[in-house]
Amino acid sequence: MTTTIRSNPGFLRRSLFGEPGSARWRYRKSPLGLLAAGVIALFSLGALLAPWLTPYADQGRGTPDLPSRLQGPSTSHWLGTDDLGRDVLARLLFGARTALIVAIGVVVIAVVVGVLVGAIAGYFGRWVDEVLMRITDTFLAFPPLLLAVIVAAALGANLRNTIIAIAVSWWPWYARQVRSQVLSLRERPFVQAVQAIGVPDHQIIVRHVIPNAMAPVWVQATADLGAAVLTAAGLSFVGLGPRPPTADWGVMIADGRQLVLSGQWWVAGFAGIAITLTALAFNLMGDVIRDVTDPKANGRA
Amino acid sequence: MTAPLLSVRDLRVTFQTPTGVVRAVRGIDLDVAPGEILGVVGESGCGKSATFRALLGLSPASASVVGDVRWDGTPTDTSGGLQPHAAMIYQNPGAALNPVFTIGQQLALVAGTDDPVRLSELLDQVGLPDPPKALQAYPHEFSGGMRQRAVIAFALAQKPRLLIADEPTTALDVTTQAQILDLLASIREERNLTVVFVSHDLAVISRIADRVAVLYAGRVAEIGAVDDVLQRPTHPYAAALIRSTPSPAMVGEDLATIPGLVPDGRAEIFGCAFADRCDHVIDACRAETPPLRATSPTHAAACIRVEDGA
Amino acid sequence: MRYLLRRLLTSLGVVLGVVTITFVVARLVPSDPAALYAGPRARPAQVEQVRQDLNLDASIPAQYVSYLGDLFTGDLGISFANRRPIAEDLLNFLPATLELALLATGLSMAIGIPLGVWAAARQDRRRDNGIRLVAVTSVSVPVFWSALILQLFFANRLGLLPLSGRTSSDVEFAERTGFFLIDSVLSGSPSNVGDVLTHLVMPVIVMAAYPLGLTIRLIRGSMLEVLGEPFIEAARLGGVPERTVLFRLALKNALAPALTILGLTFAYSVSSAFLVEAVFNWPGIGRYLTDAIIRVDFPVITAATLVITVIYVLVNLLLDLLQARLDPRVELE
Repeated sequence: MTTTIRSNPGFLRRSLFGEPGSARWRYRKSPLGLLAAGVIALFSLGALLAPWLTPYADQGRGTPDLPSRLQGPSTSHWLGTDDLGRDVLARLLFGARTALIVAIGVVVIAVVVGVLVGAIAGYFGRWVDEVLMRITDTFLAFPPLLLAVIVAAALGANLRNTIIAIAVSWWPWYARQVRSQVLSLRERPFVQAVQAIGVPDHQIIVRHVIPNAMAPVWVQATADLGAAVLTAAGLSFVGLGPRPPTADWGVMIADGRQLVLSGQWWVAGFAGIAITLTALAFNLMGDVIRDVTDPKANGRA
Repeated sequence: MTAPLLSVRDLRVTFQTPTGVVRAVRGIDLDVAPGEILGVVGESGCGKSATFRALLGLSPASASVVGDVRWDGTPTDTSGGLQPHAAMIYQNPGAALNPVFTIGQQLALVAGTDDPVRLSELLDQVGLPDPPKALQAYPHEFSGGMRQRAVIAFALAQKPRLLIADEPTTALDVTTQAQILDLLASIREERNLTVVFVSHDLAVISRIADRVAVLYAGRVAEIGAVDDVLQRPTHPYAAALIRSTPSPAMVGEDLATIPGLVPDGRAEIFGCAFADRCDHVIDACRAETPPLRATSPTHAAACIRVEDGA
Repeated sequence: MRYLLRRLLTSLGVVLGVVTITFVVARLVPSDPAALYAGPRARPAQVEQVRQDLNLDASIPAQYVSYLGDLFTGDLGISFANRRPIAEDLLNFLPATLELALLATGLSMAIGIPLGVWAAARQDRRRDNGIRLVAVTSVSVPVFWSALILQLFFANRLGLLPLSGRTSSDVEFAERTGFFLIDSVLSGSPSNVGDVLTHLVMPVIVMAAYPLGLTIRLIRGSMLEVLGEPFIEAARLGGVPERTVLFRLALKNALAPALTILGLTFAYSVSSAFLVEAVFNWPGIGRYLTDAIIRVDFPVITAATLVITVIYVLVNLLLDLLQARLDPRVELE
């Protein structure tokens, strides 16, 4: 093995940064992209290791500590405490779990539904396409945030319903994207070949069509993780988010709103910073990925 | 030959790409005489467009353009030195016209005047019917030939001394091609313009050009008066290129093809770039890059076996 | 005219679909609407009475038909909370929201278009990255939080701007259009105009942030595409000044696709209104909606959503037609 590396000086660098010219290679060369990836890694670690990162894990889960309510940042409570005396840092760490669950949940559901609808519409064409796309267009006609609001309001406020509500307003975007991919895939020789030997349609869709239509979906999905965090925070802010005592950044801002104006800025302040940084990192990552995977932008990014 | 209007020596254009350095132009020597039409031919990737785009300053910022360029005997910028003196005619006139502005609006910007009489004159010179109406038209309302006439009018509006036509007839049908060629020829006569006519099509070149330069792998393989080069090619590549071009005299014959591929722009070339595809190759061909050598006062080729009659 | 007609018909179909979806979503509410309407202390007989009055005992298809019929006559139903006709309330609140959304969209375009052009103009990596960071940040900050921060600094700490509302309590003028900027000008008193303006500053800035980011990214993207076109190269070669190339020749090409997104930005403004208005206590349909969400006033929630969505569909229709005008290749006839 050592000889391989020695005789091939670029080996280590290439395996770390991807082949020169590849999308991964270009991503690694973007300082903003690396920064975003770092923030996301920190955020994910914080969410996963929340119970071990803070001495106030119980408070993070919601147990109040009324005697120490509304203390400013100090050495014992780095980011202060909220109106129930809970450590803000602990709440933020546990809130990161909520945000992560919502973001991943929304994107996974929306991608699965969208990809299926888009693939079926594009593959079968004709009236199937016509019907499915009319439905898709109708969902697209809603401002996404509003559709999420009414669905969340109708289903009742809790974490699961927040995820469903946002996913309901997002799947059509993936459906449209996948459909246009599938329309061109359908004409490609490898699809026509498996059709000719009589492979059933559902197998062709799942094994041959969908895997080849996913590249742009992944790019879009990454970028959408940030928007999911923001949308979920918005729903929480107007009372359509997870119920107490679940830790949630949007709820923290809603609860801390009045406190801000009376001088206790730290609850809403830090929660807002957490949302902004997370959304920023995801959006930046999506932006850079879109740039480096866009063939037209080659040599420019 | 009179003193050249444009003189290029050892022009080299290299592009930095993620996958390596691409040498598009590997040392071109070229003189363009005032008032002549110089045809430039070669397969795609031979550096014909890259050469003139570099001289006009149109190379990407990452490209390196070196060489010695003189305009009217005066040294000038290698990259972009030609821009004040030259105008360009594009291969696809549809793409060279802005779709959301009228012909008149666009022409006014390059002509530097809003005067409809002056603008109509310009359109009239390129044979566009009903100039006042044409000024109001959008490019999509024109046929391909009319668009190319408009593009030529844009070029003339810049009052250039040199016209660089980059495959100006490739995208047009045969009848329109002939009309545009006639137009270019007559404009050259009237205005005493100098024209560089880049094309992959020897038939078109033979029709319009006074002299022709055959490019191969970023260098001039053969250059000379059109009749000399086409009738008596001395470079094996030029000869092969001519054999592979259909002409009426060859009906019934099999068209020759040149075996092998143009060397990749990333490849380092030692000796003659054509050696691997050449029937007359000898060991000496691979030893050094053959210089352009005159075989007559109006004819030169870059082949060490020219004297051997190969 | 064929294009116009076809476009109108599709829009109508979309609106019908939107109505259907809101109707279906409204039936998802787990609790009994009649009980909600009658109130917590109502006796069963009263609830039944309400059920009959509201036509809730009919079959679902029959309800759907009468819902469509009501909508057609402009009847959006009655609010559970204040028992008033929703259509009237919405009409009262709409101008306040439109005023915000229009100003915010305008502001985001005024800043976003030049920034987008500038980012695309030269391949200067540092400037491009800087503008990219501005664009991405402005779509990443939650509006209700930035609203709060602005309130904290400019109203609470510095006292430069009013905390919330559309006017100060002691300012009064006739409401003729419902657009206070216009009404205050009509009142002829500069102090009224000033009062309205100072109240608009923070909400408009907060609301403009998200559309700003979208606009920058979009204009940059479509400018980069246009700037690679041969006709731009031809214009530069022809000695057209760079400013004219960028802001006239290229921008007009880049704007046509970007117009579609203007619809999106406007939609985001209107639909983020409920977050912004909640913070600034702005009496628009957004706050009307948030109040309804808190009270689970479902007829109001669906009606407000419906109205905003229809506005959105109409704006998109308008922009499509405008785009057709901007691009001479699209024939309207």
